[in-house]
Order: sequence, then structure tokens, then C-alpha cells
Amino acid sequence: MKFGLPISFALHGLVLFGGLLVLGKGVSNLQSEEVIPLKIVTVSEQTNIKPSQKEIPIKELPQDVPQVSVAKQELLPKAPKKIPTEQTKGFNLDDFSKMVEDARDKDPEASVQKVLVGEAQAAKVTQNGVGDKTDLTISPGDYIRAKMEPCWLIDKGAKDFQNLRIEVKLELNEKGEIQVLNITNSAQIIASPNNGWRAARENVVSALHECAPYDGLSALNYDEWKIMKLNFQPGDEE
Amino acid sequence: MTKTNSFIKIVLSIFLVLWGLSANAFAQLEIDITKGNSEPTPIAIPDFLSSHPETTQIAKDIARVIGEDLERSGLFEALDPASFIETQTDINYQPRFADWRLIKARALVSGRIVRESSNRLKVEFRLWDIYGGKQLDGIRLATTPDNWRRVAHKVSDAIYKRLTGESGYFDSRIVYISESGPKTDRRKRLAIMDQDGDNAQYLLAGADLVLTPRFSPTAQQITYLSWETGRSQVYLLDIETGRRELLGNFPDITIAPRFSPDGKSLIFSMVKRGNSDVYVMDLRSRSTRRLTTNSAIDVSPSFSPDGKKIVFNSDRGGSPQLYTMNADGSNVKRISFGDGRYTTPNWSPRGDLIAFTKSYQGRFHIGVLNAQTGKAERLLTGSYLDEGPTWSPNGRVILFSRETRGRNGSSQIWSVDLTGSNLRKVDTPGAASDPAWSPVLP
Repeated sequence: MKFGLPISFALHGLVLFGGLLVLGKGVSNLQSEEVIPLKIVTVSEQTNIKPSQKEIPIKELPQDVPQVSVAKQELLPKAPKKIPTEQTKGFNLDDFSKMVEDARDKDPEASVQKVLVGEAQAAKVTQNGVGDKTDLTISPGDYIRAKMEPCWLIDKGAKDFQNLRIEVKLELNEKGEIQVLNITNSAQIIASPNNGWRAARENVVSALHECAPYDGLSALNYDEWKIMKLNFQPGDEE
Repeated sequence: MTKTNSFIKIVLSIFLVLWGLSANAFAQLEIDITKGNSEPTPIAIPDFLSSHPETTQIAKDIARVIGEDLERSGLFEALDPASFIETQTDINYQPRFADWRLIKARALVSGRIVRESSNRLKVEFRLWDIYGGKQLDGIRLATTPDNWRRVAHKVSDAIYKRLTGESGYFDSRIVYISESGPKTDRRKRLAIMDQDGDNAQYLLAGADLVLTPRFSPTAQQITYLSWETGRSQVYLLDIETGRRELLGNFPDITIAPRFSPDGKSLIFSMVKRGNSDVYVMDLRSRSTRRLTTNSAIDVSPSFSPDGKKIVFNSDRGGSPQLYTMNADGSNVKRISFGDGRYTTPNWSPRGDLIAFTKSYQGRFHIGVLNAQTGKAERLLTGSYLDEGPTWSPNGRVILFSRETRGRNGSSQIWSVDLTGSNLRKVDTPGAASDPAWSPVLP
């Protein structure tokens, strides 16, 4: 009993410490602990220059807007009230009814509905491979390209932007969700003096996450697209 | 021994086969993606948090100015605050990324203002990568309350740099010629404003005609032309002290002065006996050296950012075209070969492009071409009269003058991205022309 209180304090402290660790996760200290003073750059009100000429009074521009004449409607030629068209022979319902009657007279069984053997049963079965995404109608390459186009933001003004190639190893699960995303040419990007390349890399990562999941790919061919190598590089048309 | 060798061979074979299989598996599907889009990046900028009633409005204004800065660049779209799901109450906690993904935000700016005294504010912000789920940047700045706009521009610069990889240009100013009066009797005064058009002020009270102001890359100084003495002379004006001095009392007409990248010398043209050539002046010794000796008209010189080359325009080939030469005047090479007249070249601070004015078939254009090859010419604008390109400090945006046709036509300052997109007018109090961008403020 005499150790109960210290143990309780210790446990409470541990819980509090753990809580703080969890809550504070991911938030780093502000980069600049030191205050950055801003120098106020002023503009002097007076200069040592004397005008060599007198102030020139500025004439106000006239505010009146000139009237624009409006064309009178009478000048326009009047449209004819009715446009004459050539009379053509139309569809005659009586003639059509007579044709149907004649056909019935010739073949009385023509109007009887017949059920073909097996067709009613077949209609209840789901037709695999027709319209339920099980049949691959687009290649994975075309699908990924089409999917990425609205998500991948290209900065065409970045220096040397057409050479900022980003190579990605992308691993997906069967639902098309991202499992692994690795930039395989990161070392080259970091070593480059062109900071725009690093920004381009982050743009690609954001685009891949924004476009996920890639659920339009055929599960039957999962092995084909489970791991992909994606090369992002703006083309000539960009 | 033989058994051991066989065992090693088998293990090696299995390893090679497995390695080959894994390499094969990785190389199964390789897709080249070349098409994306140029839409702006969606970014969420909620009002900054404020714990003091006196700073509540500033907190809102800072968020607004950051949003306006970033949107004006054409690279970002500030999302509507009405769409925000999460309301942050403390910037020291991670945002709920899923909430921001729902509204398609790619980045989030969360900030707060701490009032340390009546005359001192501390502004903190964090930039979050929504899809990466991590903090990209976090900075703390201190200033006086009336300097809040500059704090907003500094934050915009930091965000721009982190998300594009290029330096920002929002905490900078533009010097320009303010114009008033009718076209036949126009009054031109030297003026300055923030890059967003705010805080416009006249720099000279005089009524003398002034033209072609250019900012020093290293100091708060401007060089410009003035007709105060009856002929054009080059002046240097310190905008903080208001002191001004005449740079060399030349008997001849001087035109188009511009600083070297180190701010230590000035390059300009001077007309002597009817022939204009390019000269360079050392600002310390005030000694002047002639760089071109051709009988043609050589004007509008501009240094490359490394100071080793100069681009200028000359009619030595029959019509005004662009030429480059070494900084000592040697190795002159023509770099423009298109139809029309090429004038006012300006070398990009990035070094890769040269901006110019081109007149062709009755229209004026602002264009860029490759500084090394002179090829890949692109015309970015076109109108009745577009002229005088000047680069933003990061070499990404071009400002120029656009004049409208007619007796009541006036001049305005416009901006365009170097890709030719995001063409927009810069708001000025009145008509304005001949802009020149300052470096980013210290």
C-alpha cells in the first residue's frame, strides 16, 4: 500500500507522456527559431531635385461619351410570313393497316408469340465478360496515362522543364490502391542544382496519390500491373 | 572440395535466376507518361489565427494578400474558404489531411499572429503537403503591425519557393513612369509601387520629362534619364534618402542606362556625331569605356546575369536585330534572324532567355528567345503597341507597357508568364509605362 501512490503517479505520468508523444507526432518545430526581422525600406518624401519647369496644369479629359446612332428596324427587309414548301406524299395509316390485315390473312400464325427453348433460362444468367469491367478493353498503359493526365500538374515555366524526368516504381494491390511508391531517380534529383526538379518530383507524388485508386485495371491481369515503372517526362506537345 | 564448388554453383545459379526473375517482374510494365496539364495548384489558405482583437483584421488581411500573390503568379489557385471542412485552432497540430484531400487541396498554409507588444508582431506559418502528409516549411517572422503587407509577401515568397523550387518575387517593387494628361501633352513622372500595385508613390516632384528607370540589383537605387538640362542625361537616385546625382556630364545624348549584375557599373548608349554606341561606366571611378565602334546604331544594352555577356540591338545588318558580345566588347554575334524589327532586349536573371520587343506587320510583340542559340523564338503577346520587357527577380514573369490606339489611348503596365500564359494588367493609380522590377527586398 505504501508504494501505491508513487506507482499511481508514475503510471499517470507515463500515460500523459505517451499522449503528448502521440498528439505531437508529425509536427516539427518551426524551421526558424530565430526571429527574422524585416527591414522597413522607406521612400523619402522629398528629394534634392528642384523642378526646372513650372507645374503644368493637367486638363481633365472630357467625360461625355459620344452618342452612337442606332440602325432603324425599317431598313431591314421583312421576312416572308410563310415559306412555301413542296408538297410531298405523307404516311398513310389506312394503307398500313390494310397491309397488316393482308399479312394476317395469308399467315394466321405470324402474330402468335413463341418461346424458344432455353432462351428464357439463359437470360437469367449473368453474362461474364460483357460490361461488368471483367473484360480488359483498355491497356494498363493507356489507362494509367489517361488517369494521370488531369492529376499531373506540369510547370511549363520551370527551367529546363522538359528534361525533368521522374521515374517511379509503383506497387498496387488488387483494388488498385497504392502499396509502395518509390522515386527511383531520387539521388539524381537531389544532386541536381535545379530545384525545379525537386518540385516536379513532389508534383508527381501528389498526382499519383490524388489519382488513386487505379480501379479500372482488370483483376484478371493483376500480375501484369501489380508493379509498374512509370516515367514522367513532359513531351513535346507540352 | 568438388561438392563445395557444386553447392556454390547451385546457390549462385538460384540467386541469378531469382534476381533475373525479380528484375523481370519489375520491368514487366513500363509506362511513359508525357501528358499532364497546366492547371494551377489548388492551395488552401485559411485566415491566420489571432489571439488578440487588435490583430484579428491583420490576420485576415495577411491570408488574403498571400492568396492574391500566389494566384497572380498563375501557378496557384487559392481555394474558397467556404469549402474548408477543418477549422484549425492551433497551428502546432497536424491538420486532418483527409479533410483537405476531400476539397482537392494539394497544400495548406496555416499561420498565426502573436502580438508581443503594441508595436511588435510575431507571424508564424506552416506549409503542409496534403497528399504527402508532412510539413514542408515553417517560418517565424517579426515586424511592426504597419508592415504586415511585407510579412505577407515574405510568406508568399517562402511558399512559392518551396512548391516551385524557384525563388519568389512577391516582396519586390516596381519603378515606372506615371503618365497623366492628354496624349499630345503627356506629363511623365517617376513613381514606385509594390509588385502587386499597392503603395504607389511618386519619387520625383519635378515636371521634367523622365524615362527608362532601372533598378540597381544590389541597392535601393534607380538610374534613369532626365531632360532637366534640356538634353537627356543619366541620373542615379537613392530612393531611401532621396539624394540624386548626375552620372557624368556628357556633352552628348545618353540613352537606355542599365546596371551591371553586381551593381558596380552602368551600361548605356551615347550618341556622338550622329552615331550611337554602347558604353560602360565604372560607378566608383566614373570612368567610361566604349564597347562598340560600329557606324550603325547600337542601343539598349543589357548584361547577362553572370556579367560576362551583353545583348544589344543594332541595325548593322540592315534592320534592328539582336546581337551579343563579350563584356569587353569582343566577339559580336547576331542572335535574332526573324522578320521584323527587334528592340529593347533584356537578359533573364535565370540566364536562359532574352526578352525583346518585336514589331512586325504593324503589330508589336513581347517575345523571348534562347540566350545561347538565339533559336526557339516565342512571341508571348501582341497588340497595337507592346514594348519594354522587364523580368521579375526570378526570371519567371515579364512586365511590359501596352498602349492603346487612338487619340484617347493610354499606356498601362501588363504582366505575362514566360510561357505566354497568365496575361494580366497591373493596377496602377493612372496611366503607366516603362516598368522596371526591383530585386527582392532584404
